[in-house]
Amino acid sequence: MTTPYRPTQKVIQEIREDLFACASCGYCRFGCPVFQTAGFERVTPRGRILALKRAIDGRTDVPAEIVDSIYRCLQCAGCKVNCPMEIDFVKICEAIRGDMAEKNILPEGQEMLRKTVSEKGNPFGEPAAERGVWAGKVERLTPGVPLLYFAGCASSYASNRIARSVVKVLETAGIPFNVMGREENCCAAPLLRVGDEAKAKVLIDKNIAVFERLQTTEIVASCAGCFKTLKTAYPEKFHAMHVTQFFLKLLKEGAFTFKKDFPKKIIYFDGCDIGRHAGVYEEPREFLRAIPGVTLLEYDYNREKAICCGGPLLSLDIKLAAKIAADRVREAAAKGAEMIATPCPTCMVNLKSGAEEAGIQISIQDIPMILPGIIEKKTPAAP
Amino acid sequence: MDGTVLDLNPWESAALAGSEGTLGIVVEATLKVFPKPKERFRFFAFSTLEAGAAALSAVAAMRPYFLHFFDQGAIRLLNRSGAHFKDAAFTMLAILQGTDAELDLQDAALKDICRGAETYTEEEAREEWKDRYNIELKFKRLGPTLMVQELRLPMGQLLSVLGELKSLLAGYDWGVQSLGSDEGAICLLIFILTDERNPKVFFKAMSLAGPVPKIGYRHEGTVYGISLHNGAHLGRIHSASAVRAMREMKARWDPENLLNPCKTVWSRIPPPFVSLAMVAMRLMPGLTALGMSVAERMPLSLIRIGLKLTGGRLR
Repeated sequence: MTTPYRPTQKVIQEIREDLFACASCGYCRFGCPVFQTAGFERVTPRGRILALKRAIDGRTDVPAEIVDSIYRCLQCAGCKVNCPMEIDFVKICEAIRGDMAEKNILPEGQEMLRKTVSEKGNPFGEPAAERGVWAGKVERLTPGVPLLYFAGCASSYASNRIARSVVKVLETAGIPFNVMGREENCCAAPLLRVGDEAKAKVLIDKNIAVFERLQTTEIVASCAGCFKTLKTAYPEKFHAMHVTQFFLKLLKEGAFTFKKDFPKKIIYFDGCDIGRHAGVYEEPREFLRAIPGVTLLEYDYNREKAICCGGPLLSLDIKLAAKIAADRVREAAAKGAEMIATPCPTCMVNLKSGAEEAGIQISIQDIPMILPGIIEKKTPAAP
Repeated sequence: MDGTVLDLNPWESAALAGSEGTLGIVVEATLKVFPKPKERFRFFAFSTLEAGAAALSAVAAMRPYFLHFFDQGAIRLLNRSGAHFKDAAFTMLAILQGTDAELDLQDAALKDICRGAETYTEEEAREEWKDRYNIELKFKRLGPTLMVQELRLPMGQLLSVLGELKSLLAGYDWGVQSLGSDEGAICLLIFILTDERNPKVFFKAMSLAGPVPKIGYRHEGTVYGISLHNGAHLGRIHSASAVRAMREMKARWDPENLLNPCKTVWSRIPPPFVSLAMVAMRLMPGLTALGMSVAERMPLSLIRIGLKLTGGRLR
């Protein structure tokens, strides 16, 4: 049950300037898939800002409906790219969620998520001992190997094929790498979304301790959410890359090649965490274009203007998440795509629900999953 | 809709633009396509407002494809919020269209009119044009509240109006740009920054919605557009028969007057009441703030009665 909320002075100071800068023009709605699907003004950044402004004047609490709406924000930053005032609603959201987490007045679902992630080290409530099951024989913890593959919770527990595909590519390329398996913890992205920085730091520190022990310098992540978190919340000395960036680098260096064509019309889905939040737009596209036979299509709204699939709502409102994803699937189908290629397991899972919701048959694959059957080690040219 | 198919001329069909299917559905359209004319971008900076306003008036008579100006107040507001416009008392941007021969003629006339102004290259003019459409409202952060007033004036009155605005708005951060010009008239967009966090400052600034239109009226101009501020000026913007026609349309499509009840053609707030409110805001901003605060705590039933009196309805 969501309760009304009164922001503290610290939060008010943090967000005040942005709130009053809002011109109420409503351009934020063009980038907001929650508004586009739900259709209520209260789920738009503009609606939330109007309510927050009244609250910080001390005239009223933030009503429960608006608090609920703040948790329905995908934090995709789609509003920011459309805002003429460049208001960063994600930062406003983070400040309020942080305040609510500190006061222990999180909505029920978010409280459960916080408890699960901080106690179990993953958002699914799965035992830590089962995290490395997918890794089985490939769990590698060799000190001194600079490269680490960070599988993340989704690939470790649910979408194992992604993790196994990444390992297959790295093995084909003949690159030494570590996989943390059972020693890996959630990157802490869900806790940062909930707003609990203190509990997030505990998980981050646990992961850093393993990175240090393995003398890791480069981390490759297949999940866009992990990639963004590793890039922004972890020390810079652990150079974080998304797998598509690393695969492109390996391909250019000649570490592997394609042994057969993959004749498909593929549309690349710009995940928000890899795109707007981390600024990686071109490498995944360049890599997909390099696959022989692939015709790469584009959404009308792509790169920084791309519209979120609704994935972050999976833990709060699975039906709304699927409805949002259904729109992205319809857009892809209208472009003639045979496959949607994602850079993130959350996008992949949610788009699959969206395809079901829309009643559209379309293949939805995370990029590494495309590769195992079509790559091979590049044979050195004969002297 | 009863399925009747109407054959509309271009002027009648303009009524359908933006109606989003509420007035009818376009089943067939005939378009005339013109070849894209050649374009030249011209940009001038003037050291005095007088020189700029005189040049603008003369250039407007040439009917260029596009004509736009900034006064120094607007330029400085925009530059303080990260833009890089040429700083001058008055800058003017004109886009010319036509054949090479027509463009040469327009160019020669333009050069003659703008003698003495600083002239920029085509490339610089194009940059300036691009930036004018990119800058949007970022300068609002300087307020952080932005009050916008819009006036439509005969071109010859521009200088006098800017002079009066200068006296009225002394002490404010403000600036003016044009929203376009036609048939010897010019539309001004007047930006005034204020701060809604301080009710006294804010209400004083809001009271400018009274004297700014009056300046326009004194110079054969009028306010334009639909807004809360302009509701009381409706009778000056349109003829009585036009207002009646618009009200009839509104009543048909929104019989309960649910959409923008006080903001559209159905506002029944008597103009003297608006003037009184403006005076109260200017002279007693603290009391106005208190009144607003009391109004916010009014029971819904009273608000419903108030809205009913002004033509609205609350659900």
